[in-house]
Amino acid sequence: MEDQIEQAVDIAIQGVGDPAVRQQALDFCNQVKASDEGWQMCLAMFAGDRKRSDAARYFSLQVIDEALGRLNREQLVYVRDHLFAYVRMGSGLSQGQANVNVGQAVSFADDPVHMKNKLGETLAYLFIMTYTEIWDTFFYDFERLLESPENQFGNPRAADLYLRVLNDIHREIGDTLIIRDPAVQSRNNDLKDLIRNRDMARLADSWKKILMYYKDQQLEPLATEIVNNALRVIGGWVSWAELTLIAEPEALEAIFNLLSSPKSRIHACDCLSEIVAKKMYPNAKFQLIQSLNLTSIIHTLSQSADIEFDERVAKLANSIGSELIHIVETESQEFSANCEALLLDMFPLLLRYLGNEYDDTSSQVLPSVGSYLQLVRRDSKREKAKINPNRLTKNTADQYENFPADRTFISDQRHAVVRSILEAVMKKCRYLDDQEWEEDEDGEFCELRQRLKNLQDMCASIDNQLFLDDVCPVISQALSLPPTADWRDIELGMFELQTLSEAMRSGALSTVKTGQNESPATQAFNNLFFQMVASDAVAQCPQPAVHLLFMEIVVKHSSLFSQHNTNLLNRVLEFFVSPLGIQNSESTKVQMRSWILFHKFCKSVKPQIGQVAQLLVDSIRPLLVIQTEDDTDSDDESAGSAFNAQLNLFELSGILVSILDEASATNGVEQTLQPIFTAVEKAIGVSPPNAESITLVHHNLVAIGTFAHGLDGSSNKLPDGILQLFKNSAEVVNVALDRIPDTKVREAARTVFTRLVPILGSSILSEISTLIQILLQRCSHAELADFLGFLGHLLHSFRNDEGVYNMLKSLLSPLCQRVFASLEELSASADAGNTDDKVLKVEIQRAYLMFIMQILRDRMGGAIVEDKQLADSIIKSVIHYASDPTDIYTCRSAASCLTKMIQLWGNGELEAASAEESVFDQGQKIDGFEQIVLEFSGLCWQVPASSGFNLQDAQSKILVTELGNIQKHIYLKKGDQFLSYLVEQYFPQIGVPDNAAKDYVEKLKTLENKDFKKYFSAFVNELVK
Amino acid sequence: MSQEVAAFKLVLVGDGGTGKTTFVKRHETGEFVNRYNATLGVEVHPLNFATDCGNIRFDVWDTAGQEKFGGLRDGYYINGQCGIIMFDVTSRITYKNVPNWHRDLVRVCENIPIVLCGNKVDVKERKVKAKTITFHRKKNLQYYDISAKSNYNFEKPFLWLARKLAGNPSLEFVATPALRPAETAIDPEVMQAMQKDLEEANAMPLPDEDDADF
Repeated sequence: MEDQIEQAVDIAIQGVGDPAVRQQALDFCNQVKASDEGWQMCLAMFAGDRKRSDAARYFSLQVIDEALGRLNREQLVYVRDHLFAYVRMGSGLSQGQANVNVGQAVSFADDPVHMKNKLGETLAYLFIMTYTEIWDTFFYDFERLLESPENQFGNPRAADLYLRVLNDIHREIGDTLIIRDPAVQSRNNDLKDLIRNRDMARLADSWKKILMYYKDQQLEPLATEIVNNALRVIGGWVSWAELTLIAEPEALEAIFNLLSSPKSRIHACDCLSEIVAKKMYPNAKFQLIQSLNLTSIIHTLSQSADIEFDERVAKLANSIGSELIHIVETESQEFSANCEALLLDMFPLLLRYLGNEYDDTSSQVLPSVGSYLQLVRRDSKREKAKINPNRLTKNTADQYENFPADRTFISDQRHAVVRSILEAVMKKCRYLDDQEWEEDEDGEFCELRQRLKNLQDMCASIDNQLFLDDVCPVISQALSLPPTADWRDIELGMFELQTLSEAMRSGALSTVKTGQNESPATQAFNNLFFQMVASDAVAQCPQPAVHLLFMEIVVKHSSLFSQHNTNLLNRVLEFFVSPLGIQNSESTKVQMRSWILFHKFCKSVKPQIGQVAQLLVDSIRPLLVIQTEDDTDSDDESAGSAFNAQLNLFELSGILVSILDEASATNGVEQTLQPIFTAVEKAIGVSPPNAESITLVHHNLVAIGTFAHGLDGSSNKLPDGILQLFKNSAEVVNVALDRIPDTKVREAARTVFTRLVPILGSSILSEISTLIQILLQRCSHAELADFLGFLGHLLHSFRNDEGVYNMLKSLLSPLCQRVFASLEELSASADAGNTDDKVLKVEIQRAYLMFIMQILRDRMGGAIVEDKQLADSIIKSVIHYASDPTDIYTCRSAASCLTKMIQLWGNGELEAASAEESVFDQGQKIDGFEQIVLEFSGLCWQVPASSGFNLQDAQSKILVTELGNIQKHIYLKKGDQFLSYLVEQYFPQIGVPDNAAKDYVEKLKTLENKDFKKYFSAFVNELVK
Repeated sequence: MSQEVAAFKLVLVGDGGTGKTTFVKRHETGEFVNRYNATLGVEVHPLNFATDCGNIRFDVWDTAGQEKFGGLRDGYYINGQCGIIMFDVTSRITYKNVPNWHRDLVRVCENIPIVLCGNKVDVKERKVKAKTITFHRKKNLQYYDISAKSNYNFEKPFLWLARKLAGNPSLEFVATPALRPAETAIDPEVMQAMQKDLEEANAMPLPDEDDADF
């Protein structure tokens, strides 16, 4: 049998091979695990006389682990005796008990690390099962194994295993990162208490002695691992052990000494970090840090050549800094001052790490620097709050204009630290001399700079003037550099200008005017901004990074351009159309981004563009040729982004064309659309369609829509010539749609029509009808939600158009059949575990309900009730969703639909929402609806009472309000009939007390809708409690 | 001429349904797997990458996340040289379970580079917000948001691991190694030596004093 197990494990553990055979092997392994006697066989296999494969022995311990929980006392003792005898023998001792039969075919001492750890894990589980009653001498027994003639802990094999066991005990009972059941948690707490009572003092002492002994055993091969594991054990157990037992002088000294041992220093550092991070009262924490004298120790460590170690020390420095800041924050007065002095001591060190050339190291200290700035900001805000506002004057915008300077509210000491932080941060923001520009915004340096920017922002908010005094010169100097200067200096200046701009936006820098005068920050920024626009360093430096920042900044501040500085505006426009901007060949990224930025920029300065529009249109046109991107690179996240960027140029062309006079504009539209038509025609001609031709059709169609969107912004009615060109476009779309049955083309067609409808109105109704027929026939599950959204949008655009209403009447029935069929199919797949179909199902549900709501809102509800069967199925579906809060949003949309239906149909005929409105087919009778309205009431009570419904959740609260709305609307239609239904039938049925019921109907009768909804929420809360 | 390839065992773990298999399959075929099938025990997928230091192969051990198909569970981690722990940003519980996966992984494979990946960031209703993802900082892991469905960041975890394994922080993937013969003509022995070093380094908890300058 043992041979069979071994064989099965060896097959099952392979990730390759005949799946059937592997499955068989796996099934066999699972049987062994589940069988009653499996653990005994496995114990014999693990600690037996025959050498078994590594995998088989690993598996046998797994089987034992799983069995331990179901063994009785006698069996646990059996496992204990055998495993411990095995451990004794592996430690080089006799097996101890004569009546136990174990073998030593493989000793744990010769095992690879993962086997030792596995044994440690099993022993830890055994500990959990036995320590309370069966094996209270667990630790003591292990410690005895460690003894050797030379030393109390001199047996390295036993020491090694002992520490692995301790590590695993901590992982199982002490590690707070691991989420556990309350029952397990409480068992663990009991175990920890027992350990504290029985063994903790001795354990801590043993770790100390092990450290002290093995750090000097250079000849012992296991020594390093033993020392490092001892450090791990201390770092882990300290979180729940009595600190004084661990952080005692000799032990700490041993740990400090290990900071200079290359093989152990990282572990020593992590261990100290854990000790420092132990939760305790602020004053105890302060004393700990002080007594550890950590700040000065770290000073001596900060000069290492080992990058990884540096990073860990930086992390340690950060946690000490953070702890000290936390103590100052909690303001235990007696310590605050001393603590701040210690912090002051730390700062040069923290800032040195911040300036470290390795970004990983640098970023380790950012949290503590950030929380220091937060602390300073908090305190200065508190001081500011003490100012008496009566002595201040306000400007016209109701803002205090003579508020004392920020500097007044912080101490000299803190002011100096903030200044040194700002200086260090700016330095770190500069690219290193040997570093190339990082194009990728998600790149590590870019990410770090973003965090540094946040720190600068905090500095700015602490003291505006300090920030301006220190940052502005850096910017100004960079902008005055010759274009041949190191691009890194120019780039830093531009980066800082952007930081300044963002600090104004975030409110960190005040933009409050004093009388007619702009704030100091605004003045400083405006000066620098125009210096930048005129700067040759920027326009001529060969670095795309600088050009990118230039464009980003001018777009953000395009409002600074007016009729009075058109020369500067033209300089910027020229920049954009130059080889530095939209024609950039140095960097594809900058080029594509410039397309987006140019679009934004022109959109906002449109009124000032004037004459040059034609020039701009002409310089964009060569870029409007659409190409398919290399599909082999489709793995890249940027796939498609070139086209998306290019769309900005299409929209921009539309905007610019709309500025031109009628003849030039018509000409401009034709010159843009004609090449697209040709391209579409050519791509449609490819037979059979391939990926490239489909993509080309898609892109070109979307381009038409986007271009139309740009033009749509003009307030004047477009000339007939242009309208005709767009009508032609609609036909082109339908031809493409008909010829190429592909989801991408369908998506593009929807986009184009969405854009064309505002321009062409009902003159393209027949094209729309064709479009919908094709889409309905061919659309997939994944497209359905978008299709519904598209239809909803159309209905809304044509809500006064009877033609569209009639179209909806013929469309609705097949459409709903389609939706219900898809939902059914997706439900089945979602229930089988397909998470994507689950998401899709919810998406379609929501889109469907939105669509129904749109029909009701846009006066077209007649299309639903016209056909009794259709109406029944739609109402049934809405009730179904309104009764099921699994997806709150779906449920809420359904509830809203229901309210609307009651409001519009509750009297048994089609009505309008108000006297001013009308609906199509108003007054038409609705068969049977009136009779079922009362039944809608039930779900208002069932939903909040359904299991798992959380009344405190924000979304759920809104849903409950909507349910209250249903109640109110039923009452408005049914009046007393509803009240007596509640009091006489429904409430008694669900057990609402008489007086509560009476109060409820009274409120339902008298309260305004808004107040009633509040009352309803409170009522439900009370009821469900 | 066939080129020498440095191969590494990569252990891929995480709760069931977080998209581990989809993620791996994405690399293999460049196709998004839409159907959900729970992995049985383990499947090994070799993923090849061309780097500017030669070719590298990750043998990805895609392990079953679901307990009922658990099979040999952490037994599959044995001799793993690097790891990816995956959770699903649309499901909080899968993030809460990350420490368990981490504990089990480092117990078997001490001192290996590990990347934490939050998958499905393309889904609109993200439940595990970026701010709450802190576990990697506590354990010195690397973290990436990914989306197996939309390819977002899909190479990042492999690139980071490749850099760690090669001990070269500036290693880059090259798309088409055939186009860059000069750079791919790295001495296979160097890569093999690198791998051997790594195996030794795995056995040892820390580099030797002589290595400290790296």
